[in-house]
Amino acid sequence: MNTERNYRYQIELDNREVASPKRDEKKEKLRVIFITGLLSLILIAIILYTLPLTVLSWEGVVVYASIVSLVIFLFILLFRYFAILFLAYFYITKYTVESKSDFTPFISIIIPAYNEGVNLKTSVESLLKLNYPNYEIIIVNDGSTDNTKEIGENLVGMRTGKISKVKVSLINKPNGGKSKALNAGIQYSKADFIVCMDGDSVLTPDTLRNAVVHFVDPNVGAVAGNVKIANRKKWLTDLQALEYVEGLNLARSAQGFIRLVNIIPGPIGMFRKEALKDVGYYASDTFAEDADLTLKILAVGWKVNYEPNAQALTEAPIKLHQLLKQRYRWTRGILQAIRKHKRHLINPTINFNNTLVLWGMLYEALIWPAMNIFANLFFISVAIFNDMSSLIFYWWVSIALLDFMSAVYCIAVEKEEFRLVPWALIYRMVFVLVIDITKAMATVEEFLGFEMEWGHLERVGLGNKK
Amino acid sequence: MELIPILSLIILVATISTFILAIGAYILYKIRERKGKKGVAGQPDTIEAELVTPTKVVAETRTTLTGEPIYTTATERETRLRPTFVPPRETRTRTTRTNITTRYTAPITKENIEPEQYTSAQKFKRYTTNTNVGSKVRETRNEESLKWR
Repeated sequence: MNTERNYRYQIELDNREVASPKRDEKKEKLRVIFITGLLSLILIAIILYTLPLTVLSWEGVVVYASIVSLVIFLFILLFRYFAILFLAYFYITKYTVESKSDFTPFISIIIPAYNEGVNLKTSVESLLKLNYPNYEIIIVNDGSTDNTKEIGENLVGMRTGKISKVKVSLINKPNGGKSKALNAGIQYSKADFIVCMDGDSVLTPDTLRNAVVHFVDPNVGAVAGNVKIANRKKWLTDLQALEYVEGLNLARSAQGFIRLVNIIPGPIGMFRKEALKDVGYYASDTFAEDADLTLKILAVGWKVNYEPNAQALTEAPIKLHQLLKQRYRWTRGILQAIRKHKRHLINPTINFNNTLVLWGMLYEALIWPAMNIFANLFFISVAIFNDMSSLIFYWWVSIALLDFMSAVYCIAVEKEEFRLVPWALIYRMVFVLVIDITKAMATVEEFLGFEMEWGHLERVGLGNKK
Repeated sequence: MELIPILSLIILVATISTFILAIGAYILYKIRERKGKKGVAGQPDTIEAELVTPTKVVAETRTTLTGEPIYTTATERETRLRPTFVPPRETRTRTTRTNITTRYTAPITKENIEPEQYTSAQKFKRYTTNTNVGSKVRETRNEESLKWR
């Protein structure tokens, strides 16, 4: 319990945001229908015209098209895998030989909290153990309906940190979403470097020291941290832990090599305030405010680095429907962010790097899940209708082997638990397939303009192991 | 029976089951989400909030490394996102949200620039009642309802 005297002030926060690009949704829908329809008609016409000129029958066309698609899929799968592995390897090699400096500017850590009463205390306590001399903590209670306000008020004070006293402040504001909560904290912050994290995340002691070093380079606008799953020992959270190591962090290391990380994760991201100011801070017109902000920062020419040793432990969804809810939001949010930046997508002369990043994101969000679903459907149909069930076995063996090797490499590099490696055997054929189906559905619904809302994931608490 | 056909069958069944599970889980998720949907309200330009801090807030004159003032005055609101400090609700006069010039602008915590002026009655009360105290004491008492722009 904090017995110090705290001061209360009424403040007024600027609630405005940079206006998002104007959209005519009706026109966009019509355009999508028109373009996809036209492309389909052209494809059908080409097949109808060229089929009599070949030796293929109608049934043969389907088999032929399927095999060609599969070969392309396999090629992309292997290319993607090895490109990520090599780039990540180069980055980690480069990173481990670079020296560190004693750059320790003042940093504000902002914790947006909406109904995070279960986790807030653990989260702030982890921040007080940071091995960094010069920082403050700003908790933004975003109109919580639980006991977040009371817990936050108890945490306010000049607290004893690992190296120095740490000022903990609290802003109580009406509910307005994560972006507005983060903007409120940024408004109040006096620092030139800002760390944005989640109310359910815990930072490891050397996070600030490792991340801030990147800002010695004046071209770096932001640094993405390394997110890990805290609540493990359940099959769903173990699979997510593997996914974060193998799927997300490996890709982020590869992007770190070219200094174009495309998403600064919500649980841990450090920003130069100047870069935030350049892009008009967070916006709440997408459901992936972190992806949107990163794209805006890249678009104005800042570099975005990745720091594997700036680690945040976060609470993963423990139920399947919560996981699907999270991924549904991520997919639609990323598509919304890409749409906001479509000018860069179609015109590489504005900022080639940004165009490259956007196409990569579009591929991962849109094309990759569809290809994975298609490949699985292809093998199922071949196994059932063509009596070639051994194909699905060899498919599984090759994919599982690839994932297994990749998992061993990633886990060794990140000094993670080797216990997670066996999950690689069902990672792609079960876990990724389930996620990809939700991603595909979310993509369709995003293009059709279905309504959605943020929602809130149920929290058990990082300190409460069930 | 050979091993590979058995394993193939197992994987085939597992993959089909995963498909069914994934689609089923997605449908259930959508059904859950459909319950209790709320409309989206418009957002005001400014919102009132409360700051709880361990240190006293004094008029801000610090600048960032880039040389800009950390807090802008209320009239500079077009350019920067900065908090404006306001007095408690009960002491505020009715103002419109959009009219910035009519908003309360509390004095900066510097020494009083203008000398205090009193009527004869006030002068009398000033030295005879407990409710009228010196400007220094008054300033200390009012610290908490301070005072930022």
